[in-house]
Amino acid sequence: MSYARAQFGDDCSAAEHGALGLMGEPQLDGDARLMLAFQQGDQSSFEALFQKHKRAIVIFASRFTGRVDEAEELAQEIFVKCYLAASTYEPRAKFTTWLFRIARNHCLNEVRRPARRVAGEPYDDERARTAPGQSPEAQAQGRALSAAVARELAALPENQRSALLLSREQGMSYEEIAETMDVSIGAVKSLINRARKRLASRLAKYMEHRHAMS
Amino acid sequence: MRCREVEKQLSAHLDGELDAAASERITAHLEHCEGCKARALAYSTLDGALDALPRHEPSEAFDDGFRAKLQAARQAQAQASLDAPRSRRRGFFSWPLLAGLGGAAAAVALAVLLIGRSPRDTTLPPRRTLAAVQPSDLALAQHLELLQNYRVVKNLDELENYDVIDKLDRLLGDDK
Repeated sequence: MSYARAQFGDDCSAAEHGALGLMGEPQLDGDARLMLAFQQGDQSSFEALFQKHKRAIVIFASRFTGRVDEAEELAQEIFVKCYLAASTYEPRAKFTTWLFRIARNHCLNEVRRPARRVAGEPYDDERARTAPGQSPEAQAQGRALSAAVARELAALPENQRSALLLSREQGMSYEEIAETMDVSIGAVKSLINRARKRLASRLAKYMEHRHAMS
Repeated sequence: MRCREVEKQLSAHLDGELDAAASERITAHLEHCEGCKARALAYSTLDGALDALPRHEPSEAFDDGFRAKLQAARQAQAQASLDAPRSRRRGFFSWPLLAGLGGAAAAVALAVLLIGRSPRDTTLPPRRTLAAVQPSDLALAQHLELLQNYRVVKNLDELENYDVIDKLDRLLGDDK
């Protein structure tokens, strides 16, 4: 039995499961191969995936919830879910698509909770990056803009926020975002456009300052 | 190309998600439309601001925290699988099941009661005084259990069964 048939069953087709290699085997990316190895019991494969993606998941959680202080805890829980749900992963999907679907759902559950776990400031503008050599005034403007962007980003409707973050932060294509969010590519296009339009409108005064100073 | 159409496609254009022909049409429009050009500039500035947001790096304790959560989750999972057979056994006598059984028992009891109260009961003669009670009535009362025999009451044709009638007669005769 070929590898492809062993993985996908007798009714598999290249059209359904992506391109096949010369030997009829699916062209799996490195992450998918690691997941398959983990499904076979190789713990070090999951460790490798964890180390590779933990930063992206922490950033996603902090952006999605608007809370840096709870991002780590959420990211840890997301990886626990991935570990326990590993048997449900099928290599027909990109690993990151599967991972961020879990991440999004987990963050969504968190922000919908009536009582959030951490009380505190949602965003610390002292952490905002400023370009070297900027005047104190420009640095202050930059921090104010970053704080406003983070605040408005967290206030976006959930679908718009997810689509924009997956595009800007993760560099996903619209097709990958559609798969992650289980919506059409047309819907992704609309969500990202509406998110940008809303943010640009709400942040107009901050961005005018930025234009004036540059 | 109209501004409205450009507005709809602008993000996809900036993200490189349009085909070459569509992208060229938008670029051409932006060259002569100040409003759409300003919008495109605003979107680009916004993207720059999004990219400039600070990125929270996982702390040194992040990995240990994950492993502790994973261990706790696996222990909880193992405990749940151990508890599952017990809860299934408990589940056999669960409240919904008991309620169902109780309901069924009540239904059976009600059916027996209704059957016992056949239409004949409503045609019984009016209650008589103790003096008017005949010996035959007392005999019937003594053998009420026989008269209330479920099989007989359910199937009134049984009363035409000679053996039953004969037995009743003999019982009544014995009392005379």
